Amino acid sequence: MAGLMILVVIFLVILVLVNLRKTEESEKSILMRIMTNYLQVITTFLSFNISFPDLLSQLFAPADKLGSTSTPFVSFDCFVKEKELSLFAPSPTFLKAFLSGILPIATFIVSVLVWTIIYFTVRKWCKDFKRNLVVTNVVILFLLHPNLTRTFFLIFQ
Amino acid sequence: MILLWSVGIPLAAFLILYKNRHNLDSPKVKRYYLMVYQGLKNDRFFWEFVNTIRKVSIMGVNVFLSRESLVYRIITLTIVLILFYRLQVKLEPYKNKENNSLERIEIVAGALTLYGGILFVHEQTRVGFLESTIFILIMGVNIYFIMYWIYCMLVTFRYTHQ
Repeated sequence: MAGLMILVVIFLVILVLVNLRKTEESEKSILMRIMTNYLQVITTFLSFNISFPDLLSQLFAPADKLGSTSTPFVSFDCFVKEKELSLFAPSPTFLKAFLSGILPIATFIVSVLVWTIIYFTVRKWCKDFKRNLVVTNVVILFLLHPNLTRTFFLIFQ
Repeated sequence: MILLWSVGIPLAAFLILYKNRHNLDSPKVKRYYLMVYQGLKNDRFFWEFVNTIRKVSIMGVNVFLSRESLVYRIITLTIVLILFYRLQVKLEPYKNKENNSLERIEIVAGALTLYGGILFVHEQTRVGFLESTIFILIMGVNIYFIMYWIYCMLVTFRYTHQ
């Protein structure tokens, strides 16, 4: 789980940096966006009950890890189970939905904290605080969106 | 709240871009929102939202048709993906032709993986020869997409270092 978190953070940081580096169009960023879409689509398929052959699952394993880039953040299953917080909520699904609901706010606060620290320590990395913050959150929301939607749909299931 | 995020985020981003659709080249808009529309033709600035709808509809079909069999859902989704493919061919949203081809392969890879997956839903549908053929086809198209993506990425490195 920790390894996966690190992988996700690295992917996020690369995506943010690629987008922050230039104010002009960057082919790399466009390619990263197409790859992210692919990974997110494949990850959604993997959540269906299709028992793909092992070799195929192995090919998709990195996709499963990276494509669900937000899964470690949104997957509150363990949290809900471990803490038995379900006792305090109408159902685990609702609690999960609630946690997912406040997630974008939480990531926003974290991004503000991170950029503030960078701003006061390594000023040259953070020339335009507002832009860095907006671009970071656009990238985060772009990555989080499919998972937030999935959690939303789960309420109906 | 979560509805606000899943509908609100793309809608807000779309409205911001729609409002600025005639100023997409202005530094002010580029500075903050370039990530969402870069590489797209100016009159196709909304394409990323179509991609969002594609991803959401995959989840939507899976959840709202969950009473139907998995095979039924897969066929419905394959049809949906073919429609998105047709739309991509018709609109050719990217300025760069390579990106248009790459995205088409991405959609085809997804559709074939899903459609081929029908074979792997039930044990009894697994027929030796057919299974290997479909398996090779799914592997092939996905590896082709990944290789093509790597090739495009390498080309961008060559350009930036020249």
